Order: sequence, then C-alpha cells, then structure tokens
Amino acid sequence: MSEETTNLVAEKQEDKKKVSQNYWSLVWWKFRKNRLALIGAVIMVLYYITCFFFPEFFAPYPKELESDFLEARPTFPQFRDQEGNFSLRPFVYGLDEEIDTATRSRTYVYNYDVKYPLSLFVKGEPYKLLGVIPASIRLFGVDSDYPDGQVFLLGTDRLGRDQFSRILYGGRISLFIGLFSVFVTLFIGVTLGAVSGYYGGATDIIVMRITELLSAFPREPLFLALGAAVPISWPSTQVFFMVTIILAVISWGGLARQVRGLVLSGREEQYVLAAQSFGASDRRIIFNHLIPATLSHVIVIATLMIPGMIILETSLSFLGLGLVPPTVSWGTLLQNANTIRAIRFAPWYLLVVPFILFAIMAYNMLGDGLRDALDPYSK
Amino acid sequence: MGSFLIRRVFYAIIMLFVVSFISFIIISLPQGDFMDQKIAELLARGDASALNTVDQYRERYGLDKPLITQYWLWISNFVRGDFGLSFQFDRPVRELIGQRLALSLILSLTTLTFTWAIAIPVGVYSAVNQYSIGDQIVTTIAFLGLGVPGFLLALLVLYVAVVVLNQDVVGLFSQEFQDAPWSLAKVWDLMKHLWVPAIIGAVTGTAGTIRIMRGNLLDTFGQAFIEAARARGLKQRTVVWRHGVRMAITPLIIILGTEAFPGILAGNILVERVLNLPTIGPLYINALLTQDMYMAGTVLVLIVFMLLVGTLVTDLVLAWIDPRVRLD
Repeated sequence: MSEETTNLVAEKQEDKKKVSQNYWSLVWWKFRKNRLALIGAVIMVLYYITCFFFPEFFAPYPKELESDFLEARPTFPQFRDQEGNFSLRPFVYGLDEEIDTATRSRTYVYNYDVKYPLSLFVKGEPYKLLGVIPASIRLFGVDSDYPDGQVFLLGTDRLGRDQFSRILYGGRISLFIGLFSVFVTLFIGVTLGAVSGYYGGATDIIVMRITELLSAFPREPLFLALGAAVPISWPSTQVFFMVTIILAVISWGGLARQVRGLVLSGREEQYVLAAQSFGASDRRIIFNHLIPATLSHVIVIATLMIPGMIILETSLSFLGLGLVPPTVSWGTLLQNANTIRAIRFAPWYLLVVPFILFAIMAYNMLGDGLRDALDPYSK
Repeated sequence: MGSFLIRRVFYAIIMLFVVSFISFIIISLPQGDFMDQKIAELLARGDASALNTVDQYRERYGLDKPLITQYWLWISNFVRGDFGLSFQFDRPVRELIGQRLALSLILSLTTLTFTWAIAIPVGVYSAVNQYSIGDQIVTTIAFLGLGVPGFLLALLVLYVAVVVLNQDVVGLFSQEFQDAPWSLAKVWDLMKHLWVPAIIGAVTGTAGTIRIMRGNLLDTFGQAFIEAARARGLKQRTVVWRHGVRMAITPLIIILGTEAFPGILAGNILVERVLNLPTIGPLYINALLTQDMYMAGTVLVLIVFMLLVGTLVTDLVLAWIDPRVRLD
C-alpha cells in the first residue's frame, strides 16, 4: 500500500507544471488579475489601432473633405424606421436643408422618407495606409448604390467636414504627442537623473538646482507661455515637434529627481562594486546596470505621465496656441464647442469630450494596474 | 529659527529675480512685438491710420529699446509696485489685476471650502470603514474624478446648464448686475453664479484630497499611539478625530500652502476661460495671445511669488504644529 502511495506522489510531482518564478512573469500574473487594468489596456490598444495607425480605414471620410451639409446634425445608424419596420441592415436618414425663419440660420432636419443603407468595407476616397500603401476601402459607409447618401456619425462642422472622422484623425496627433513627449522626457530625465545620482558632487548640485528652478514655475501657466512663444507661421510638423519638446522640457524635472534617488541607493549595491572592480566603465555601469534597475518605477511614472501630456496639449490647442487649425487635434476640435451658440445649436461638437475622457481614464487605469503589478511581492 | 527665515527669504528673493528674468524672456520670445500684432489687427479691420503713428506708439510703450533695458525698467518699477502698462487695455497692469483679484480670491475660497467640506469627512469615513461598500464606491468615484480634466468638465457642465436647465451660467454676474455698484442683490447674484465654477474646480481637488486623506489616515491608524488611545478607553470619535486626523492633516496643510495659495491666480485657468469669468486666468491667456508683455510677465511672477511665500509659510506652520519637524 505504501508503494502505491509513493507511486501516486511521484506521478503528482511529475505532472506538476514548472511555473516560472522570475520577476517579469510574476508581474504579468499580477497584472492579469487586475480587471480594471486589463480593460484599460484593451481600450488603449483599440484607440491606437483606430486613431493612431489606421484612422483612414476606420473613418468614413478624409479629414479635409468639405461636404455641402454645413453644421449638420449627426445621422446615427438606425435599425427601426418610423413605421416600426425592423431591418437587419442599419441605415441612416437623409438630411434636408431648412431655413429657420426665427433665427435666420440654416439647419438640417431628418428626412424620414429617404433612407440610405450602410454597408461594411465601402470604397471611399483613396488614401495611403500608414502613409505608404495606397488603398481606398473604408470600414463602413453608405452603400455605393446611393452616391448621394452621407453618414455623419457625429455631425459636421461649419465647413461640412465629418466630425467623427476628424476625431479619429485628431486622435492620431494627440495620442502621438502624448507618447512622443513622454519618450523625450524619459530620455532627458532618466539620463540626467542617473548621471546626477551616480557622480554626485558638482554635477548633482547643478542638475538639482535646475530642476528646482523649473519646479518653481507653475506648470500650466509656464506651458501656456512657452506655447504662445511658438510662431504661428511655422509649418505644422515643426510646431508639433516644438510642442513635444516644450512638454518634455517642463516635465523632466520630477522624473530626474526620482531616478536620482533610485540611483543613489542603487549605486551602493554589491553588484555595482563588483562591476567596478572588474573595470567596467562608468557609462557601462550606469546604462547597463543602474538604469535597468530603475526600470519598473520609470515605466509606472511614464505611463501615468501620458494622460497629463495629452491634457496639456489639448488645453494648449484649445486656447489657440501651439497647434492651430487646420491641423486636426482634439484640442483644435474642441475650439468649436466653446461658444454658447455652438452649445445651443450644434451640441454635437461636444462629442469629442467623451473620446478624450475615455482615453485618459484608460491610461490611468493601465498606469495604476502597472504600478500595482510592478511590485508583485506586495499584497 | 531666525537664520532659517533669513536664509529662506534671501533664497526666495534671488529665485524671484531669476524667475522674472526668465519669464520676461519667454514672453518676449514670439516674433515681433505687441505693435506688430496690433497693426495686423487694425489692418484686418481696414484701418491703416495706425501705420503712421506706429513709431510713436513704440516709443511710448518703450518697445524700441533693447530687451535688457525693457526688462530693467520693468523690474525696477516692479519692486515699487508699478507693474507696467498693459498694451491691450492701455491701463496700468496693477489696476487691471487689482480689479479682478477680489473675484479670483472669492472663487478660490469657495472652491477650497467645497473641496475640504466634502473631502475630509468622506476621506475619514472611507479610512475608518476600509473596504466597506461605501469605501469602494468612494474610491471608484475618486479615481474617476481624478482622471477628468477640469475644462472638459466645464464644457459638459456648460452644456447641461444651457440646454437642460436653460440657465445663463457664463461669467459671474447676470447682465443687470455687471457694472452695478455692490449691493445685497448683487452678492446674491454672485452666489448664484459662483457655484458652477466652484463645483467644477472642486471635483479634481476633492478626488485627490480624499485619496490622500484616506491613505494618510490608514497609515496613522497603524501606529501604536492609536492603539494606546483605544486601550485607554477613549471614544471612537475622539480617537479618530483628535488623534488620528490631527496627525494625518499634515499633507493637506502642505497642499494648502503650495497649491491652493498660488492657485488663487493660477488654479483652473482653463475653466475660467471656458466659463468666461472676470478673473485673472482669462486676463493671462489674453495677454499671451496678444503679446501683452507686462501683463503676462507680471501674472507669472506674481504666481511664483505666491508659491514661494506659500511654501515658506507652510514650512513654518508645519514646524509649529508638529514638534518633530526640524527647520534646517
């Protein structure tokens, strides 16, 4: 009997899977358990696919295309028409122009007799996928049998441009600025912080004084002032890079200070001493040993910085500094929404706001989840 | 203590000079100067007469002198209280800021009152009943509130107020009271309008304060003296408020000095812009857009000044409250 038990035990031990206890796998497991963080990650991936990489595919219209429907209300896909007939295929109502005699303005009303069915993978205006591959298929649009039909999911603006498409294109710029400026900030902040922490002495004092000076300025007013310094006459790509650099310049201080703290404690570790006695150069120690040790903290700080950058850029373009129309970013799209007239008569301009809110919330959830996961040894 | 004060004041003065110089340079960075922008505006309106008098204007405003001279003139008057002339409005900067300062102050105080009145009790409740349903709900709401930027919320609130409630929420006064002398009716009108920007400003502040209060209070509760207080038989309410909260209030004092105080001028600039309030925020933005150098520079330096004063006072207050803090 004891032989059987021993065999059973032996089998159980063979069947046991070898689960890795390495740091990164622990991090991944803990991340997976956090439902909010996973949702945040999925949302971010969706945003990047639709707005950053392939907005031309997901948007029914190009961003500059001006239609004849000026400031038209949204035509949302319907499944059930006025008489109650249900159709599996979604359709949109036509729009008729009407002059409102009271306000003497042009409005558009739904024409419930004209129905344009929608279909997937419609051939639209040609574009270049990722800037290189020519294509013209778009995800959805009015069926090609009805060339007069338009589907404006979120309405149009004063020049008749489809807002939904412009929001997707705008997302490309806003999301890109968020990511890119964080990269530049990381580059400056981590390098300066690590060098300052490792060498100490005069370098340390200088770098710390500079960060103190920077932090004496209030962030938003300083950013607005620097944004105003960007000449309006510059081409939009130059303005774009300038805004990114400005964002990085005002944000690197905090990061540098954190990295400096981490390096200060990291450089006392045994392996650093061992590397030094092997004759490793300072540069090698900093970049190959100390900075990777700070990686988990840096990732968290970076992820949580991104929504802040997006908000700053949006505020800047909203005020008319930095990126200006015709460049499409979420901030410039918001400019339309700021007048009482727009809010009362064309409230669909405000629909940019949920897009921005979801992106920021998703980043925050992701960042929080990363922060919890990257410390897998805590409860 | 005395040497600490002297050192800090000295440091603050140097910092102010450096900051004012940098601010001046930043504001002057855009190409051209105020006159160029003004000329462009007048020409667009079809009024070409200013072209003849441009040089006179430049001389009057001192724009023809080199930058360093301009800065020196400005800063030497600044310390005497003369903040320069606003080109846009053709009035002294001091007068313009003074007019709006009172309203900025009132708005900030109201926002702060809302924030603390909600956040402290909720934070305490959340910490005392950790992991309860109430705590979970509060934490989720605080999390959401932190993510929402103020001016987006302002746009949404504007929409709800104008379309749904059909109220006029732009600005701080209704039409009739705009330029009227102060009276009880005007004060009531102000209060009717004030709650909108105050609530918007309070949302982000509340979310952050709740989280900080909760975190700090939980840390404090883990300490031995709380257990000792309970063992002495003190009531729960006394333990929580007189012992726990009193220790946990420190970060809030720090926030008060370093964010709320300079926030009188600089807090929620964008919300003020969206709602078109007659406070200092929109004044600053306007100055940036029109390159009104002295106005923009003054506001920036004043904000930094308040930050430095706030930090110093905070350190002193902390040292006074908490005997463990050493000032050196």
